[in-house]
Amino acid sequence: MIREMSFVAAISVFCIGLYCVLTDRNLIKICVGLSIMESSIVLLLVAIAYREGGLAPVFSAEIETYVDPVPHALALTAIVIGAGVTAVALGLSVLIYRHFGTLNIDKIWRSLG
Amino acid sequence: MSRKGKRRQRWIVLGVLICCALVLGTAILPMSVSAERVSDHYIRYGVSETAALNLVSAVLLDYRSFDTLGEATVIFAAVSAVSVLMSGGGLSRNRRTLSNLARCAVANIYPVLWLFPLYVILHGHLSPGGGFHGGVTMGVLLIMISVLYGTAFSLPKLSLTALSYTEYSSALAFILVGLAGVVHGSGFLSNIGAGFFKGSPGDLVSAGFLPLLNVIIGFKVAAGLVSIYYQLLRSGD
Amino acid sequence: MSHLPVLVIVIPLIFAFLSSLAGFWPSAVRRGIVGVGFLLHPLCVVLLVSRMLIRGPLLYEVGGWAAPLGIMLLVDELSVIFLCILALGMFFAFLYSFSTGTARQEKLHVFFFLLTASISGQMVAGDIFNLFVFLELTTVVSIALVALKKKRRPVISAFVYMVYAAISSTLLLIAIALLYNATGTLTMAHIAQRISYMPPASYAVVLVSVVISLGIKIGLVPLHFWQADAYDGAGSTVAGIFSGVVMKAGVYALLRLIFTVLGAGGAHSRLLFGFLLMAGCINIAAGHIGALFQLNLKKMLAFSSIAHAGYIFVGIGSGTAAGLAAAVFHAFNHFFLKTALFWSGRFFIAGKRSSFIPRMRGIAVSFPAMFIMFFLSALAIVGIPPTAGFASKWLIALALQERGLLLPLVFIAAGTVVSLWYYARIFVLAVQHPHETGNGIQGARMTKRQAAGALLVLMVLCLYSLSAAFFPQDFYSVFEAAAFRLREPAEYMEILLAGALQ
Repeated sequence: MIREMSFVAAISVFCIGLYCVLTDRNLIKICVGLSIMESSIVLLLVAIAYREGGLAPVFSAEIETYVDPVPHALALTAIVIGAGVTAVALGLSVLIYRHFGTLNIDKIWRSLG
Repeated sequence: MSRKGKRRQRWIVLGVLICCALVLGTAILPMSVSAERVSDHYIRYGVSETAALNLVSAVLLDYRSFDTLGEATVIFAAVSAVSVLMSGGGLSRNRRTLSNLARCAVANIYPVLWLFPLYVILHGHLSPGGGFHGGVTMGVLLIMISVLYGTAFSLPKLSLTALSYTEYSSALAFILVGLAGVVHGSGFLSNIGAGFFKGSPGDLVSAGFLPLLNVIIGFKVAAGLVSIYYQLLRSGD
Repeated sequence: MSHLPVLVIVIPLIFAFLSSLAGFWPSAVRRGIVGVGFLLHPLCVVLLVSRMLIRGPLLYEVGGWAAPLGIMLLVDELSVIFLCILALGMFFAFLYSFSTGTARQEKLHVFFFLLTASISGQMVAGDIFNLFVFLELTTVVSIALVALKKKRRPVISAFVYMVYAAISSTLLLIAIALLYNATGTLTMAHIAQRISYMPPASYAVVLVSVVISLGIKIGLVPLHFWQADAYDGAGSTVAGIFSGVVMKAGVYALLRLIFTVLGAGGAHSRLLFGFLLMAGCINIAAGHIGALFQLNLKKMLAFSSIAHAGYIFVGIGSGTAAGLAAAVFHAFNHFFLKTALFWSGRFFIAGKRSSFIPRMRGIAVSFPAMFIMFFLSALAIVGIPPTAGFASKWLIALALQERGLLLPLVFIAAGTVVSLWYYARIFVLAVQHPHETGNGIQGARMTKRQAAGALLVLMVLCLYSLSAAFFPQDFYSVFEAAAFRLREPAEYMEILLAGALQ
């Protein structure tokens, strides 16, 4: 049940993020939308790792079932890579603001002609 | 595009996305847990093979350490990209500080705050956490000084050059640790196989090069984050 | 055990870090480091290629852990072909950037080394998540390279590219997560063995995600809108590398994932091949027609690249091993041709201070040597016999005809005619007398010695284009072997996993 609900949540968050990226007019909001999309994938990975009754994969003599550690490692890598891309995106946004004086994507297209 | 056109465009995008969501749902939801996974081996034998208690660290820094090298390099590339994009202006040296209350409150507990990332990094192979988590916290603590006291105070103490040196040296150190395995003959980034000290699970000094890699990654991530922060603040003229 | 597969990745990484450090050291040291670095990588690739051709496919276990536990690196004929593209491309890019003065740009060499390492990483990857990480590294470096000039247009083009690239990587990560969920492993060889356990709905979603994700990188219509602006905004050196090398890395990743991991060589993949055929035809049409209506030289070449991606898709979609081999051969040739076009075109753009095609009057008179290179590469890319471009197009056409697929043949023929038209109109303009005097090398603000270096690189590229059709059959047999291995992965995986550790 938890697994299925997490999958539904991951798909919903992915669609929300994609919607923001495709329809928002402000550059920073587009970057945030990308960040939301990347978070949804992390949720998907963690949901894949879930086991019934499993606890965190840190060894302890009393625990019997653990959740799957591999998607956790993949999720960590994905978070870090997403942070790197977000940093470059924000740097580009700052540079765009310096050139165009606005963060509104419609005004930017219009001033490019 | 007119207002009505924009609204219609949004509804179209929404419709397409709902269809995609349904398609994804039909593909993902019926999937059951597959019978046999690599992680079964990691869970059963991970502690005895790698002497690390934190299985996620074992996977991240021992079994799949090459991915971690790639990930650390992505941070390096992002920092280089931001520094090239922002170059040209002078580093901003402002005297914008937070209020007296904030400065006093933080100044009194600041040294204690450093215990947390140091603990997380050094115990990365024993409890949840590791180089990335601790590194981000260290970076935030360093950025906090800039936010509290202004970059005119923090830049002379923690210059961009020092940060760059730290970052590039940590990157090289990671690869040198990996090359030890090549020299030994057992493969790039070999841990116990290349002769690093295994110890017994639960000790601070154990699990081969895991503590070492955690420290290297911690410094790299912290230096990278603070560099990005300073670069994004550049005046740009 | 040969460590070459991992050294091909690690050595450029070391030099990327060293050249960053060398930014603080005297410039003589920096030049020395960069010089050693850009020679070492092709050396490693040459050693790796010769070893692979002599002894067969190589497996390397990173970290000393056996196959499903650790990360595996895999080098076979396909990897070797694309590694050659990478090694030649980056070697020439370094030489070209030294001679044209692009090299003075801050941190360019750091990015070149990182790009070399990341694309090498993609090409020897035997583990899908490893492939993803290096693909991400390529993306971050590419975004930086597009925005390197920091002017208005490059910066906004880089932002658009970043949005497309981020969507692409998210989709690929979804595919990887689903593959892990169904098969329980991340090693390509093991996934290939267990792929039949995957429910068909999930398999379809994974396939679609992979095609869309890598289609964005390669330039599949309608996901190609970032390409023209990005190639225009980047400098010509970088545009040549993107069109020549980075796009091919996307093609490699697509081939590896579709055939080796997802096992699309079988009879049930007719839908996929049909889709690729149709997509290829659309690409050819959109690319050539787009190029026809372009008045900007770099954007015209970008649309031409989109059309040639279409040829590659059509070759893959023919469903035969011959078509696949021809498509890979076309990818290999396209690197030489398009890179030479971009790099010779740079001189025209610099000399005339504009990329506007109607301004390119008299470039044959002002830049005779560069124009000859441009002319020869354009002939080759259109497909005039007996150039390399003709050879690969002909082989694709043969494979299509063998399967009785006549409609794509019509597209290829029509595309050739259209491309002849839009290159010919440049030639017609070029041979007229230029209005302004004082053009030429001095007008492009470089010395004769610098231009000579660039000319040397271009001559090597053109030499290949003209002579490749006459290479011995052994050369093409590598492509055929690569295609064969792609289509029959199951038994190939058995052989590899049975302990082909060298």
